Amino acid sequence: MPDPSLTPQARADQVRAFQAELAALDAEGVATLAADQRAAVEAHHRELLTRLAREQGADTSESLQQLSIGLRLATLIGGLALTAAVVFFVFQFWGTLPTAGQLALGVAAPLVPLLLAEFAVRRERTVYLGHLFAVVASAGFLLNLVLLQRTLNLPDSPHFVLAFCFFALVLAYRFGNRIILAAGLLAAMYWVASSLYSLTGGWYLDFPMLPETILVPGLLVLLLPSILPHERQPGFSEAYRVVGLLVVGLVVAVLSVDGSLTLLPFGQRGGEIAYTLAGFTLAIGALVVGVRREWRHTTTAGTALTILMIMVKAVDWWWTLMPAWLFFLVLGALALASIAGLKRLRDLAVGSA
Amino acid sequence: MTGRPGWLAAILLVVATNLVPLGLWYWNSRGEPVATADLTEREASVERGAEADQSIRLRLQHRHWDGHEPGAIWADSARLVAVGFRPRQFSGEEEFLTLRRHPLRRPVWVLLRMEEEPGSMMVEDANRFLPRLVPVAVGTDPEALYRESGDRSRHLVMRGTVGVYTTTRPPGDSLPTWNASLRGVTPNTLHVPRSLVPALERLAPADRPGDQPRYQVRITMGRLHLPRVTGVFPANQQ
Repeated sequence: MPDPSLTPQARADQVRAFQAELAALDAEGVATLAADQRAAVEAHHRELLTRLAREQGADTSESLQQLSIGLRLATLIGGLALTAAVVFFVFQFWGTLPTAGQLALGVAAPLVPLLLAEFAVRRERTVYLGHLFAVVASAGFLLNLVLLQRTLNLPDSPHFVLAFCFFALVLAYRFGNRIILAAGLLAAMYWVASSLYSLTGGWYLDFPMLPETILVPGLLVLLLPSILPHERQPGFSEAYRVVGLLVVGLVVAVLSVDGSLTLLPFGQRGGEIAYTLAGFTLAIGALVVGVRREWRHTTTAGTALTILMIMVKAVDWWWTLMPAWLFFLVLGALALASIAGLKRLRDLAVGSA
Repeated sequence: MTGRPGWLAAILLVVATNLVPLGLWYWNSRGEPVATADLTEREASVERGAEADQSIRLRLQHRHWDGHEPGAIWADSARLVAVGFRPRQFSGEEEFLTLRRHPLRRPVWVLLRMEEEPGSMMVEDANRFLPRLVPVAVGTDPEALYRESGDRSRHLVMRGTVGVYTTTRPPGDSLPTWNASLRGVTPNTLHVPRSLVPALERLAPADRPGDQPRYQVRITMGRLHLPRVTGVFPANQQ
C-alpha cells in the first residue's frame, strides 16, 4: 500500500527511482526478478505512470519534466501579461464610465479571472491554467480595491490590505498556489505590523520605524506550520517557513546594525548585540533544522540568512576600520570558513543517514 | 480549502469587500452635508491619467506651514498634546533615541480654511498658483473643529497626518528645538463624477493652461466626513 500522503509527483518519482535501481541491481547481478514477476511489475508501473500522468498531471519522464518547467515559465509570463492587460483595459475605459459602471468594472476585475480559474481547474488535469487565472484574479482584486478607494474618495487605510490578505489566502488554498500564498502572508504581516503601530497612536504607514511590530507576525508565520501542518497542501508548510524566516531575518539584520530602533531595554549598543546574537541563532538554527528535517527550502533560506548576517555585520564592524583589500580578504576567509562549516554539517548528515 | 467552498468564499469576499465601502459611502451621502466649500483651480487642480488612462481627478492642494510659522495656531503645544504628542519627550538629552521610540506622525483631523485673499505670508511664484486652503487647526473631533470654525462654507475638516521633527541644534543651545507640520490629508485626490467631467473639460482643457483659476468645484462633506465633488462652475461665478 503506497504512502497516502505522497503527492502524485512524489509517487511517480518513487516508481521511476525503483525502476532505475532495479535495472542497476539487475546489471550488477545482485538481484534479478523472474520473468513473470518482472512483466507483472512493469505492467503495473506502466499503467500506474500512465494514470498519474493523464489524470493527475504528474511528470513521469525527463521530457515531461522539461515540458513542465516550460509550462511553469509560460504560466508566470502569461499571468504577468494578462494582469497587465486587465490593468490597462480597466484604465482605458474607466474614465469614460459613470460611477456605477466604474464600480462594476472594478468588481469584474477579480471575479472574471476567478471564475475562469475555477473553470480551468475543473476541466484540466494540470493546474497551470488555474494558477495563471488565480494570479490574475489576485492582481484584479488589488485593482478593485484601488478603484474602490479612488471612486468613493475613501481615506488611506491598512484594512484594504487585510481584505487582499484574506482573498489571497483563500485563492492560495483553493488552487494550491504558493506565490499567492506568499503574497497573502506578506499582506497579513503588513496589516498586523501597521495595526500594532497604530495602537501607539502613530500613522500606520510609519510602522517600519518600529521594526519589532514586523517581528510579531513574522514569528507567527514562521512557527505556524509547527502547529498547523499542511498535509493536504504540499509545499505550503515550507512556504510559511521561508516567508517567515526571510521577513524575520531581514528585520533582525536591520536591528543588529541600528539598535536605536528597538524597544529592548538594553540601550542602542545592547540592542545591536542582542539582535546580532538573535540573527545568527535564527539563521544557523534554520540551517541545522532544515538539514535535519530535510526541509530543502528552509535550508536554502537559512543559508541565505547566514550569508546576509555575515555580510551585514562585516560591513558594520570592519568597513571603516580596514582598507578595502583587507575587508574583502576577511570576507573571503569567512566564506572559506562557512564552506568548511557547511561541509562538516553535510558530513554529519551523511553519517546520521 | 478545496472545491466549492474555496471559490465561493472568494466570491463572497469580493462582494463583501465592495459592499461595505459602498454602504459607508451611501450613508455618508445621505442627509444634510456637514460642510460645503467651493475650491478654485488653485486648491483642486485637474489631474489627468497617463496616455492609457482616460480618468480625470482633482488633486487637493493646501499649504504646508510648519509649526513655527506665525499664525500656524494648529501646531501649538496644547493642540499637539491634545492629539497625542508629548512634547517633553522631544527635549531630552537622548532626543534622537526618544524620537524614534515615539510616533513622529499621527493621524488627526485637520481644519482647512479657504482664505478670501492671499495672506501677507504668501510669496507669489510667477509660475504657479499658491493654494488658499490653509490648515488652521488639528484635533481628534471633527465636529468640534467645525464648531470652532463657525463657518461651514469656508472650512473643511479632513483626515490627515501631523508630524513633528527636530531642528538642527543651534551652537551653545543645550536642548534641541522641535516643530510640527501638516504632512498631508487623505484622500488627497477626488473623484469627479462622469456627469461633471464635460463641464470640467470645457472649463479647463488639457491643451490650454490658464494663467488664472478657470473653474470652481463644490466639495460636499458627508456625515462620515468623506468628501464628494458635487458641482463644477466657472471661476467667480455659480
